Amino acid sequence: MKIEDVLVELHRADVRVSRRELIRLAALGGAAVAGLGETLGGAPAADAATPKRGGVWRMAVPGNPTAYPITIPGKLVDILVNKTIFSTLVRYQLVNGGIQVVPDLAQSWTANASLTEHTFKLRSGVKWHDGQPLTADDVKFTLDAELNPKVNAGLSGVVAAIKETQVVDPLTVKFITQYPYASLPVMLGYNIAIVPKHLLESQDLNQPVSFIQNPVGTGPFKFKSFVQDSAMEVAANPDYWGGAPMLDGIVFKVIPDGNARLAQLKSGDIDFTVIDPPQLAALQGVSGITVRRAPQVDYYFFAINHDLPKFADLRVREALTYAIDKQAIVKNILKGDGRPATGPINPLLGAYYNANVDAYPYSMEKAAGLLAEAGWKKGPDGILVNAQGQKFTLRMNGPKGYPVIEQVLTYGQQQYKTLGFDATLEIVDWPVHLDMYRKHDYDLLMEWWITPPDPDEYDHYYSGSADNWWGYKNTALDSLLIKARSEPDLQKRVALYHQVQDLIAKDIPLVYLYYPPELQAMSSRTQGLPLIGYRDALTWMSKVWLG
Amino acid sequence: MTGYLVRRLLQAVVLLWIVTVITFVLIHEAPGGPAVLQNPDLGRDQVERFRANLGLDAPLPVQYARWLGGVLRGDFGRSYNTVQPVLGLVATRLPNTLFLTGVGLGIAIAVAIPLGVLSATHRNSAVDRAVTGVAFLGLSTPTFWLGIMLIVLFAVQWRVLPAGGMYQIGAAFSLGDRLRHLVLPVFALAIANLAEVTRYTRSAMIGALAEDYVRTAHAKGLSGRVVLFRHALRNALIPVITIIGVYLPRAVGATAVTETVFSWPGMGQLAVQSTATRDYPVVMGATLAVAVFAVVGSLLTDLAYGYVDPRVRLG
Repeated sequence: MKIEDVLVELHRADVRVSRRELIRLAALGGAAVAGLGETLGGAPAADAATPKRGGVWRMAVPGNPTAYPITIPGKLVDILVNKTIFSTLVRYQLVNGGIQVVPDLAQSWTANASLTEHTFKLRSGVKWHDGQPLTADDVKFTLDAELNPKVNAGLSGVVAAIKETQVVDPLTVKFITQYPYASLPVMLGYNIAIVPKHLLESQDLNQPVSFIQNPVGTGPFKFKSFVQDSAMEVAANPDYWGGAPMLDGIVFKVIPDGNARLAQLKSGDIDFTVIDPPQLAALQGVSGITVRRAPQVDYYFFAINHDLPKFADLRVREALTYAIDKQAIVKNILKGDGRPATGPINPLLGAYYNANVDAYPYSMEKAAGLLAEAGWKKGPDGILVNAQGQKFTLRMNGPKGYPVIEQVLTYGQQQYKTLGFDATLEIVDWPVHLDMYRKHDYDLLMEWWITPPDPDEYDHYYSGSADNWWGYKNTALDSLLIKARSEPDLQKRVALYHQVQDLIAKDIPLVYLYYPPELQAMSSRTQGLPLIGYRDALTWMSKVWLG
Repeated sequence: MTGYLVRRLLQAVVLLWIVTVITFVLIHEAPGGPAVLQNPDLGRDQVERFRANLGLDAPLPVQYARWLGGVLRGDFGRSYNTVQPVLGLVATRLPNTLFLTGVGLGIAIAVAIPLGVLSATHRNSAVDRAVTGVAFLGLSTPTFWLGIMLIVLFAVQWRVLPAGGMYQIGAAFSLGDRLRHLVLPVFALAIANLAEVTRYTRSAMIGALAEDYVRTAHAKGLSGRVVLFRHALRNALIPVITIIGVYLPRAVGATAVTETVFSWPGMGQLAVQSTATRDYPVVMGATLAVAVFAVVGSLLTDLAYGYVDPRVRLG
């Protein structure tokens, strides 16, 4: 592909291009920049000091991890430890403000012209922690397991486009997709860790008892021990294909309580934790601790329950959007970290991001006017009523234990009350929140997506999609989404995704709120950890060292 | 005595069975499913499929029968979250909690009973006021707040004690290290228990000291010390033992707060985490373990009455 070649050449020749230009090129190359990892350096920007070997790095995890990437809860905690023990075919790196797909277990990849066949060439000489060689059979076994209906693979949705995985030769694997699919290489980097066929083929893939006691991967660290509710330890893998890690090992300490995590960071008991904006103040001026803002592909929103007729009128949805001062949320609640959201595609996607869509600048007057136009007038009690005498109730749902979300919801409730909505808060435990979400038992519901660095929005926005939890239907958008993800030409695909964002901004399926960075608090002795969301930073742990 | 024990044990079995039924229904009826389903990334089809794969699509009585059948064969199932056997999970957590609460309760009793006696014998004196004041403070201080304050002061500010955990991870076993990790959680735990036991001992002692037999004993010319300890304290201990008996099941279940604050890998934390993640087999196993302790605790309490008070004849 041409643009990738240009980009590689630019880097080889060390040609200076403007940042904006590079981001554009990078994003166009987006999904399939093969062979770039080595050139750009697997290592993040080198620190001034010379890296030292040895030592154990300790990070907090909020719950018990299980080192098995196919099933189990497949939640964040598991994903974090899996990053160090297992490897994916490709991984992500932040290059000039855009997220790049770079090689990991796969050395290079190509696709046919119609984007229905993707061929991946594996790195040779990669060994499992038990000494067996990694082959294309392992890759096929992994993808077959992810897509097996009897297996509770939480990430199967990420690779649902794959119809068949074929082993071409021991180091070549070919994916046949159900439809032209440009995003496949990006998706394969999204937590689809490759597992060893020889150890798992005889086990129950939902409960692989002996494998979990002694997980084996190809990553820079080997499983060492796990004590429930205490810690998981991994030790350096000297045979890692990317070179022996600088650290002797990593300890993932189980610390469920956010304040306890902060206290242990301050007392020097751990080296790393992610924090919430309200915790920032507690770290102000604490010596020996660095707080960083890591870019993360995400967006936060109020989901609108489209099953309910009261939200069918576009003017109502416009009013809900106008009433929220996103700038104020970023400034006051996020303490300035983050930017107002314009739609589902995060600016980190570079050229795919369309900044020129309807932004609905904060205006309570406009919101009130639109509601009046839509037939909602304030009654004697100050509550909005329509011609049929129905009151406009607004049940606003959010998960408990997320201070920022609770603050944003409280702010939203005040704004909507001012407009005359009968707004009430329902802050409930996570499982209850999710249950209500799935049963469409809410009016507005605050949630967020952390997504692969890819613009495909089919899963969440396509009318019939199983992952569309808002009951949102828009046939014009449906055809555009299909067209965009099947478009082989990069330029045209970018243009189509700009249209997607335009359409979404106009129709308001959700109230888009903000794109926050991830706040990482770490000990100053931590060196070489790339500045990217920690899910992805952990794939580069072989380069991290202690100063 | 044997007949009594057999009767009590039969009652216990029925009681435990009722506990399992109630817990099973409650946890399965609680909104939201196991952690594997608590993933917003799942589509509608995946949620249905996973539920079926876990056997959660069967009617509740059928699911309960499956669980009970397993238990009767000695199979408590495996954790949905970690695939570890439930029995093993409980077996590794129980000693941690018993150790923590045992030490906490031991210290509390060792300090509280003398304090309570002192307070009762010096009623309305400055000593009494100081003891009841401190006890009141201890009772009304929330454990999570006290715990966080202890961490802030000893682990963060002065850095003399570890902030949490049971031992230094990665280091070889050392008694000193274990003890250092024990100090703060035990202190937090002991404060609450201490306050309660002190107040009970004090009021029971005051009651006992006013009894006729105490006056008689004094009149007989017995020394103050003998009267105090052999006559008054022994009788005053009955309500105190009840309280301690109640602590036994609480010791297993209700240390959840302390364990969470100090990242202590015990039963309380297990119960809290498994409930939050709807890890049904673990919730059932943990609840059953706590229930067994409650039953055994009340049995031991009743037996202890017979020992301290010869008028109580079990049979």
